[in-house]
Amino acid sequence: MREKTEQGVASTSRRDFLKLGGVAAATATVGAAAGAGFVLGRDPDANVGWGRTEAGKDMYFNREPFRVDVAPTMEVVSEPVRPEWSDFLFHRTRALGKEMGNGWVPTKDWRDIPNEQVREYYSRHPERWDDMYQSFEEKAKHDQNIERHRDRFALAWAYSAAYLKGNSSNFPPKPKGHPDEVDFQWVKREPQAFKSPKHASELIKKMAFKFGMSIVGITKLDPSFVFKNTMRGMPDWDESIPKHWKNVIIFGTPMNWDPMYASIGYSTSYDGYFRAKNASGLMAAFLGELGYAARPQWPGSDYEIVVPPLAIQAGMGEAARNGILLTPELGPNIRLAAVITDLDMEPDKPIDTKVKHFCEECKICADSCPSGSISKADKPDAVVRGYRKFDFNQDSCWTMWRQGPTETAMGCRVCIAVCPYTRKNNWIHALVKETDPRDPTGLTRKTLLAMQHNFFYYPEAEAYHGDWNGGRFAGYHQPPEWLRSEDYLQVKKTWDYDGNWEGF
Amino acid sequence: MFPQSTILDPLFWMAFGALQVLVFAGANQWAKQFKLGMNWWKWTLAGTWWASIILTIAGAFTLLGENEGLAGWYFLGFVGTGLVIAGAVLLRVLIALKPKH
Repeated sequence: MREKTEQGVASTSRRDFLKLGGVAAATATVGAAAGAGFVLGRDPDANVGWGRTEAGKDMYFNREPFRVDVAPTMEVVSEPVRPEWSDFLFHRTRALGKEMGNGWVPTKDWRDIPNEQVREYYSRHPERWDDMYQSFEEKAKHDQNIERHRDRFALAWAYSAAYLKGNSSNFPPKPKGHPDEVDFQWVKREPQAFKSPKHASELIKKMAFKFGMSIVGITKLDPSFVFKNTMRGMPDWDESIPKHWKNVIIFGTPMNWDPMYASIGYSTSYDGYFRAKNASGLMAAFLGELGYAARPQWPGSDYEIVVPPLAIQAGMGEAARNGILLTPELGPNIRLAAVITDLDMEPDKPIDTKVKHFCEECKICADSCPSGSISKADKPDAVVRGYRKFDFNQDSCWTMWRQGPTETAMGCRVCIAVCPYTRKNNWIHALVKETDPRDPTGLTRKTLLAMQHNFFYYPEAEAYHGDWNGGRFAGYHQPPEWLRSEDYLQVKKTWDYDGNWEGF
Repeated sequence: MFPQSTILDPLFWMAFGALQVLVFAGANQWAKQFKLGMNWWKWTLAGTWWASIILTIAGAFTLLGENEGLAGWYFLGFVGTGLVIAGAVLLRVLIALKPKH
């Protein structure tokens, strides 16, 4: 009897323990899920391109199921035309700056431009001279107002300036002379034969990761994307392309995530430029050691080729509405460099992850663009050198750069920060990125975009401007703690932040 | 989850897994007390609901952690409310389908 009673009590006690313990465990699970989620959201290891680079795991999206023969965002509608020297914005701005340094005073008439090549561009796009002319006025206003805000942006500007100094180093050296000689100056010995072009591709990609790059692809050099009349180190050049320019290795790295989200004032591209530039030199040297010619291409303006479309051909990503490369891992937050070489490699094929449809429906970048440079059309509405794409006004984009609250009046990046693809590598975004391109119905995309449009906070486009232009220095995110001057310097905080924050 | 800790991170996830054993063991006792007659598909539905609510909470707080405050709260509010309603419906179904003795 006594034994039976004890068994009954023990049994009841165990049941009660399990019932109450279960409730307690469920409560604890809710708290743990919230805590774990928050930490995963915060985790800097989720900043793609800053954590698992050497292993190549920043390039975590498996592109193989999405390989296609022709990139859907590079639809050819007429005979492809090679870009002119003047089609590159930085060619024009540098030439104009040089002319102004020589005493030229711009007028509102593009026909007064003394530089023949720049004049040629504005003869094709006369309406864009208004934007470029305005950029001179905006820069003057910027210079009159910017020092008043140094206290607020001191750390961000110092961060950018440090990378800018690094970016002006002489490695890799600028080419001087004919490419048939310069590109072979890297070469140390007779070419060492690879087992196969496939082996060469595999090794080169691994080396790109070792050199600090996050995404890499290889493609044959498409002459459609080689600038005419452009050859660094040669005062005159025609339309010819050196015969040893066979393949292009393209790689990229992101800009640091937190400042990029807090653009414009807290962000420039210099950190991404610095790392991509150095990697191009390292890759060129590596190829030379094995006996192959190399022609590194690096940002801001040391190019003979237009890199983004070649990156698309190499399957690194697709063309986005905002006119730049959109990768599955980094969205458009990528800064590219490249090396042209005579090494035989197996090229990659382009990918189709339905970015075409995504950009057609999204329009967040166009709505957020502080200069209105991005087309809001439902379908690609321009033909650029034979390719159909969304219209993009690089001159009005530049106008925004010149009034942006960075110390050097360079860069904007709002369209990069707000892009739904520009997200950290944590579980929730990885899940979305894997699901959407595999959903043939488009339901995932529509659901996600509905959430994106209705749940997320986007400052209005004007808010990104400096206060002297009616803005309030807004960012898509508020600046990170490590760029808040008031937390480290003896400055008095006299401003409010605008942009997303953690919501507590 | 413990930020950036080599040792505490895996310990956290082991403890998290152990908690789930207790959650389902407890749920089993509650189900027996209320004579719900749980079978494989009822447990599947209940488990899916539980996983969904935990993932929703984790997802909302992931958004909060990456400074998407508004999105985090909206996500929790909209999806969470839907799941609470779905949970109530599921419970009603389980009660309605109780075996009659």
